[in-house]
Amino acid sequence: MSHQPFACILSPDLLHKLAREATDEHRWAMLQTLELDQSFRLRRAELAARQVPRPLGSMVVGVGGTPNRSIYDQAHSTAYIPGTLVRKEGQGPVSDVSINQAYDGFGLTYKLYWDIFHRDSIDDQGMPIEGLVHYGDAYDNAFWDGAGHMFFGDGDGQLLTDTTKGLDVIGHELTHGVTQHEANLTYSGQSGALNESISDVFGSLVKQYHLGQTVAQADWLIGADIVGPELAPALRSMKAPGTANRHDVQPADMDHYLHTSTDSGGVHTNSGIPNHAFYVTSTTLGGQAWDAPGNIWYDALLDPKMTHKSTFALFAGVTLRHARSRYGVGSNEAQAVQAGWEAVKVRVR
Amino acid sequence: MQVKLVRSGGLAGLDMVATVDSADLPADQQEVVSTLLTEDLRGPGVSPQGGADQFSYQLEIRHGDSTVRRHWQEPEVHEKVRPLLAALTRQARPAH
Repeated sequence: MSHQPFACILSPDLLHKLAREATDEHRWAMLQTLELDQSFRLRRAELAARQVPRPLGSMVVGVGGTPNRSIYDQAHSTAYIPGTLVRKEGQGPVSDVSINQAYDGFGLTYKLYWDIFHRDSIDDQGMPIEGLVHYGDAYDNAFWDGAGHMFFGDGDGQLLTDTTKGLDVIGHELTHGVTQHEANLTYSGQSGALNESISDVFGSLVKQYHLGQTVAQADWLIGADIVGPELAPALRSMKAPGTANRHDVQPADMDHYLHTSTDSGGVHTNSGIPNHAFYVTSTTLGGQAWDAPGNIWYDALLDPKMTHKSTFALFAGVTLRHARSRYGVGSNEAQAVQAGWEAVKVRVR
Repeated sequence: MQVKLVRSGGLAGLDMVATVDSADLPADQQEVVSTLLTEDLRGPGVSPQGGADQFSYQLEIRHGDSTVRRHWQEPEVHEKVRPLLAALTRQARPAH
């Protein structure tokens, strides 16, 4: 077996020197290594510069790969502080189905991020995952509070039902936490719609990964398991924005971008555009969406070029650069990413 | 007085709208409406950065020739205002 020096731990300067003297095949591999190495260095610097509030009492779990879950019963209070701790990490199921569903959903979300992206919880440092169930009275919503907690309502029975039933919804909300610790996209206008889309993308991946679905088997719906009759069959469709329910007004391309003053500038409406780009990218490639498309989207979210003001076009450019870097300039993956953004008429920057 | 509520945001991102005559509200809620004409009742809560999928409320009160508008993100809603918003939300219908 021939010795492969570029596979050892080498300094960038030495890699540059070796690359100049190497054969074409080895030079390509060395340059790929240098680009990847540089991205890691930038990433570490960016991480050091970012500061995000962490929940009181948070602690770093000693070894990655295991979540640290706590589920509280809010007993229909609208208080923003945790109520009664009902189930903590490692404890078995309790009598309250909603508590158990939240616990399991947190675990499956953690599992996707750890198995596929090697991310240790929301902040990649083992952050505790805290769920506050039975918030409010017939509260038709679930949300991420920005302070380390996901809140779950029981639903009003018309718009929504028990929100702990939605695995994609749980993945969606916890991904808001991931975004908060990474690009920290401002929750309004186009950056807010991108924030929402990233949550739909990874929320959908949590469900697809758990079910072992191919892109053809996935329904690409968001919230199908929690909607009531008024919003059936789902909150949103990544496959066909604007068709999920009779009130769905999501656009499928930039020609139909909605300018509005409600919903922080239509963040849940215009998210349909990047959602559909991910769908087209994934179905163009085939296979499993958490594989190449998921990794490309994840790498892009962590890219230091992403800022709190990032637009669809900037994000599109970052995804294409990562597809080319990871899989090759003319690869099927890069072409699929390009096809995705072309389908929704987002100009790649 | 005409009172109009628009609730937007939330996980579903659905705009819900309700328009009522304040005279049809319970007495305690009528009092809150009157107070809001001159006072921006706001709770101590602050929307933390990084939050998502919470509701926002836009309340419009038409009193004679004038219109008063109040706006809250969910954590900012004053406890006195919550029952009014809850009552209006129960009557609200999707905007689209």
